[in-house]
Amino acid sequence: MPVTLTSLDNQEFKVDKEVAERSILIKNMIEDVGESDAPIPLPNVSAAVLTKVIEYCEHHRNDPVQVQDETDDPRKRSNDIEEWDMKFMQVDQEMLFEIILAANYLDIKPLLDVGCKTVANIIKGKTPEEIRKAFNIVNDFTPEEEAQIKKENEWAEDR
Amino acid sequence: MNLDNGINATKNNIAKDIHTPKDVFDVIPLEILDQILGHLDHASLYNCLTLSTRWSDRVVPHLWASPWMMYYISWTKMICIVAKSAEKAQKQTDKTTASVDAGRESKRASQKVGLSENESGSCFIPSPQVQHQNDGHGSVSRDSALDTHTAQRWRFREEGGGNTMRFTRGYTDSFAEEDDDRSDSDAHVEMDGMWKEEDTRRPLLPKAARPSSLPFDAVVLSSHNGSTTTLRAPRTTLGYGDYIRTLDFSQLYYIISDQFLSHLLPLTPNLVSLTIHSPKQLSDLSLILLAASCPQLSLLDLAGCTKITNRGLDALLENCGNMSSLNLANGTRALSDRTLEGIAKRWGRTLKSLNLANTSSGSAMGSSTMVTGATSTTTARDEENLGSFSVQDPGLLTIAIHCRSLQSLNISQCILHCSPSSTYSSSPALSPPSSPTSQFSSSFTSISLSSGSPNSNDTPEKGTLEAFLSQLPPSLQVLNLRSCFDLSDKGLIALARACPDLRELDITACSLVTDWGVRAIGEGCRQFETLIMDDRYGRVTDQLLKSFPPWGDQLLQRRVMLGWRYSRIF
Repeated sequence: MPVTLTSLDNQEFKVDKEVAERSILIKNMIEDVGESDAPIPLPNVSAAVLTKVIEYCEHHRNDPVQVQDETDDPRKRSNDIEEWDMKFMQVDQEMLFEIILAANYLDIKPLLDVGCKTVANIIKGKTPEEIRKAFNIVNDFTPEEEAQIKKENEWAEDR
Repeated sequence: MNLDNGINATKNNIAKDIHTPKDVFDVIPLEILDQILGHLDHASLYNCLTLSTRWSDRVVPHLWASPWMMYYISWTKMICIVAKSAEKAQKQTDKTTASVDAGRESKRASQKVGLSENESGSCFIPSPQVQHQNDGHGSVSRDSALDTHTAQRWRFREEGGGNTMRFTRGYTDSFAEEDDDRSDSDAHVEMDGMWKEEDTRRPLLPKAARPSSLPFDAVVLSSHNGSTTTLRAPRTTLGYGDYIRTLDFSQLYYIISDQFLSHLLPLTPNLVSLTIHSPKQLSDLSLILLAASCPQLSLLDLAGCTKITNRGLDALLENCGNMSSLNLANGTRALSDRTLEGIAKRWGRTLKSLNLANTSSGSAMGSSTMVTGATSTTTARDEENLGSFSVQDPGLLTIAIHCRSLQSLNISQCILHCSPSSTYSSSPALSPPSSPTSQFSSSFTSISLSSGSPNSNDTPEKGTLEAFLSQLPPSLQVLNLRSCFDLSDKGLIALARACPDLRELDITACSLVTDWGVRAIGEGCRQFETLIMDDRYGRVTDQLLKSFPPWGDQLLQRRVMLGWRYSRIF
């Protein structure tokens, strides 16, 4: 039984219920409303982003539901991204953040995770100057402050 | 069609946004940014630290959550930084709380932390025998009477060792530096009263436990008669120490000492996980201090800390309420039944993993007993008095009854006192239905009994291990019986019947096992995956092993992984 989703710009997407229910938000909505043909409005997601998100959900439609341990230290978890997901995430930065925001809003935990890992991978191995450039960050430190904070945390620097 | 529109929209978006670049901070909600930072290693976090002030504030907690444990880091220097940051934070707040209104406001919004006694009071553990000594430091605070009073109580001196620990004034007095214009005088009066009432007991929170970097706006101290005292910490800004959640000293055993920890622990009130492996210098003092400083501690790994005794553990029991993993392997030599009972009762609801391997009393005596496998009854009784396990022991029974979320229990090399003549078969109260192991909850999946040879050798009856195995909970998945020399085929048959869910079994050096027992496991446990055993002693034939095809797949893989020369692993 297909479900109709309506994006921010009023486009309608017909997807299988199984695919749509990858999103916990939609799943809960369907449970609350019951079986109905009325389209589900998603006023926070644009059509372009929704297309991507549906693509992801289609590919992962058969994945088992993750039981995740909140107490786990994320640093200990694996940082590997599946090959398909990696390819899927090869989008421009604006789109990447849009997908992350949509995943957060739609409550699709695995997609949010992949997005966060992708951003983390962008940051990894870059110098501070490169990171600033990548994310349009304006440095508002005075040189003294910067030196101070560097000094206080220098034990953490990889040498 | 929809798809095409989507792509067009994307292009439009890109075209629109390419001219208005935004800082990630403005795009991404902070909780997602935290997730992203959670995936970064220390080196990358360090690089993010100097991006901008906003980033810096966000990165610091991640960077300090689990300080990087490497041998070349100067820990003395790090403690200095932590202490300094705490001082700085305190100064800042002193400024901000200058007005009474602000103080009240912050109090209203404050996060209160109840440090009340155990709800029932049933498992109150009397204070450890710590001698209190006035060190004559004197106090500069206006509440000097109170200070001296509490200071007297919280001067630790290790009995016999002469190892006197002194807290520097920076820690002991900082809490008393409260602003005059905040209406704290009543609190002080109450506090004073409380200490007096509690005269015969230990104060719940020692002076030293109120570090200058207290993370909460208020600490509520409830005394046994119901009166409540609120202590307001003088600041709201956090120092670096407040961010520290994990400390792993497993590779740095040589720098750990009571003195080192006495400087560090008071600065890390939010510590959740502490790992210390085999520092001989570590004593109960550190544990008492840990209990007082870090009430949120939930993971404690003290493998090999041989100087730890009941005293230190009692202090932890009193102050830390949600322990989820406790490892005392190869450590304390005289864990008393009462402490064990305390552990079970106080932490029963939260404890998931408990490792008491080789914690039985009298190390030399105990281990020689285990190696030879022959014990005289007198030795066994002596050990029982000092607190080693027996199957019928209240200790194990208490653990089974109270620890409802326990998943993993390691009692390797603890001597199982199941002398059949005394308790097991004769006492109807302890007959199988009420036996300790059958009391374990359904979440219980792993037990390690290696070298835990039951002391039944001196008696003609040999069925104790078998009886024990037959009473294991059906949820059990992993069982380690390495070096249980008494294990026979009968035992394995009983085990197969009791634990249909068993997946992994280690029967290395169990020389009595033959094809019979292994076949029973293979046929009885449908989920069975891994059998670890020994070529030298085993009487199990290759034909039998080959007749269970699912095991064969694991063979090669596991052998490579563990690399045991003599083991035949499935």
